[in-house]
This record gives sequence, C-alpha cells and structure tokens, in this order.
Amino acid sequence: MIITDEILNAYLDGELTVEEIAEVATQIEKSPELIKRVETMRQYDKTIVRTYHAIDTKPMPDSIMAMLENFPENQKTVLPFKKKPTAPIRSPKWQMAMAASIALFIGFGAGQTLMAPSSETATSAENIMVQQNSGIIGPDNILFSALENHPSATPFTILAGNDTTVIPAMTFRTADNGYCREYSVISQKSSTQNVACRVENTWLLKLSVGTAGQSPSENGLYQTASHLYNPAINSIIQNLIVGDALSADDEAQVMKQNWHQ
Amino acid sequence: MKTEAEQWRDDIIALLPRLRRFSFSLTGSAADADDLLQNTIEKALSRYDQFEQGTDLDKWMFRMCKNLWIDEWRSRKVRGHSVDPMDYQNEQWIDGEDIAINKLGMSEVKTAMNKLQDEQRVIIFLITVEGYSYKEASIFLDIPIGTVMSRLARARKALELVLSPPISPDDIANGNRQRSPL
Repeated sequence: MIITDEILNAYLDGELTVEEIAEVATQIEKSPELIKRVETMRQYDKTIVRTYHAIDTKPMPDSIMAMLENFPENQKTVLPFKKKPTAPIRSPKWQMAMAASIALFIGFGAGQTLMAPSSETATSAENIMVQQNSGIIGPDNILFSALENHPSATPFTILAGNDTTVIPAMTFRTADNGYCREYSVISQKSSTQNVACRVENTWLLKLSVGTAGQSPSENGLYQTASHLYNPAINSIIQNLIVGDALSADDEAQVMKQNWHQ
Repeated sequence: MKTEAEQWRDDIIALLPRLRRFSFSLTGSAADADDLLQNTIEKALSRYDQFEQGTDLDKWMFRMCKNLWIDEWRSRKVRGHSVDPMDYQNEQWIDGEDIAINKLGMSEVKTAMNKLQDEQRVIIFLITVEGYSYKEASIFLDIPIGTVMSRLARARKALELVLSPPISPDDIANGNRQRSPL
C-alpha cells in the first residue's frame, strides 16, 4: 500500500479497517519520516480541538439564552412545522457522542465504574464507563511496558492475535515535576482513551473513558478512540498539564532517564 | 407535554455548543463568535414557520450561520473595518488557564487555520473538532466521500505548510533553521 496523504488522514481519523490500520501502522513503524509526520499531525489535531473547544469554557451569553427561553411566547405567530415526509431523520454519531459525553460527566469524580443510563439517543453508548483513580499499572501489567518505553504516536501491539493495540498519544509534564501520558487502547470490541501518570516507578490510571462490549465501528469502518474529542479526557489533561506536550526527542530523553528529571 | 415549538427550541439549545464552536471557527474571535451565534439564533427563531419537519436542524443552522458570517465579512470589507476579525491575539477573555493552554500553540494553530480557505476550515472543523466520520461529513456537505478525503488532505497539507514551511536554501545558508513567524 502506498501511503498517500489521504490514507494517512484516514488512518489518523479512524476511517480504515482493522487490517488497513495494521498495514499502515507497519509501514509507519519502518519510516522515521512517517513517524515524525504522524506525530506532528496528531499534535496539530489535538491543538485544533483544544483551540475550538476553548470557547466552551466561556459562559453562554445571557442574551442568547433569554432569546431562546422566551421562545415561542415572544414570537408573533408560531405555526406548526411544515411536513416533509420523505426526508430521513438522521441520527449522527455526534449526537450519540454528545449523549455519551453527558453520561460521562454524570460519573466524573465518582471514582468507580459507572454505566451510563439507557436512553433513546445513547443506544450505542450504553456501555460507556468512567473509571477515575482506579488502578495502578505496575510492571506486571501488560500496559506497563507500552507506557514506560513506547514512543507517542506509534501503535504498540499488546495482545498478539487479539488485535489489541495501545497508541500512546502524548506525554506531558505536571506541576509536581511528574509525567503523565495520554493513550488509547483499541481492540475490535472496545476502545478507550486514558490518562495515566507515573508515580513512584509505576503508572497510576487517572481516567479511562470509552465504549465496551461492542465495536464503535459503523458499516465496517473502525473509529479509533484517539480520534474522538472527549471532554472528560480533555478536562483532566488541562488540569494536569504544565507547558507543552513533550516533543519526540524530549520524550525519548525522559524515557532514557527512567522518567526522572 | 411540550409543544412542537418548545421541542424545536430545545433541540436548538442542545445544538448551541457545537454551533458556537462553529461560529468560533468561522470568525476566529470569541466576541465575534457570540455575536454571530446570537444573529443566527435570532434568524432561526424568526424562521420557525419555514422549518420543515424532517430537515436536519444542525445542517439548517450551520448553513444559516455560515451565510450570516459571509454577509458580515462582506459588509466589514465595504465599511473598511480596521480590526481584522480573525486576529486571535486581540482576545481579551483568555484567563490564566487559557494562557497555559496557549503554550501548546493554540494561538499559532488558530492563526494558521484562519489562513485556510473557508471550505478547508469547515472540513477540518467537522472531522477533527466535531468528530464526524467521512460519511457524515459527506452527507452534511452534500459532497462525495472522495471529495471529503481530498479536501481534507489539501486542508491539512495547507495547515502543515503554514505551520512548518519548508526551509529555504537561503535560510540554511544564513544558519536560520527556525520557521518564519506567521
């Protein structure tokens, strides 16, 4: 397979099949240039997401909410909808994502695995779970070596034959001079986005969000968890991060020093 | 029991965060984004009687929002508006936390995004910011998936070139390997 810009984008956006992901990942692993490019593109994507979600933190103007709250009373005449019987009503993925996000925040801070309540708009997100401060990832854990030694933006197969891949997304410093990593765990049946921090020669899972029990794919297309913006993950990163995410070189240096300053 | 109108209004309220981010991506300024959002909501509410049941509300509102921004942009050009509405550096609402986030290059990426063509910015917004699949973006924009892919590839390439322009031979000769400021 020739890695065109379109294929690289589709890889980053989770638009490839599991087999295609594996093929592209293999080629990426062999090419330092592609590794660098993928890392750069992921960083741009993450910054773009944070840039435009930054406005979420600003209160919604009262004037806009007042206008909506006063509707329809303040309208001179309110007529019923025109009927358009042939138009399909779409239920786009973002609606489910939004429902899932709401469910995620219901559980945020509870410190335990929570199942999202079932609703009409969240049928595919029924198995959403939130785990916070819920696990030590020690040397005996299969994730440990991926977090400890594997560079960001490159897939790491942890369960051969079971299509379970870990993709560290980025590494960042914290205010107490520690380090944390954001990473995805992707398998055919589930995917999670996670943040773990290194504490006393081990890793502590700070937050894990994702779907379980079913593939997030639609029509055979696989959607990687790392692609989707998740407000809970974004929020915890924003609370922890100091400065910039580490560059590939800095990250390699920190790993070489066994995560000591 | 909610009336049809109240349900429609609630659907718009649920859409507000996305619509606001979309306004932000178009205007490049939080203040302008909220003005544009207000104009969009005002116009939508006044056109409730023209809304056909079964129409994609998000598509209907995003299109209205974009058209209002194009009108405003033209109008500003005619008036010779002295402030570039896409100057992110003029933002006054950025608090301490946002300044910290800015270290990640938000301002730089934002400025670069604003240099893209509208259609490129919109495709990046849909795919990257809002997490649309290519198929959803294709339905939303009424274009084939192949066009989504090529437009997205061009948009990201353009962004990459703005943020990391190739080093010219002159730069190397002068010992300057840093990219030029935006």
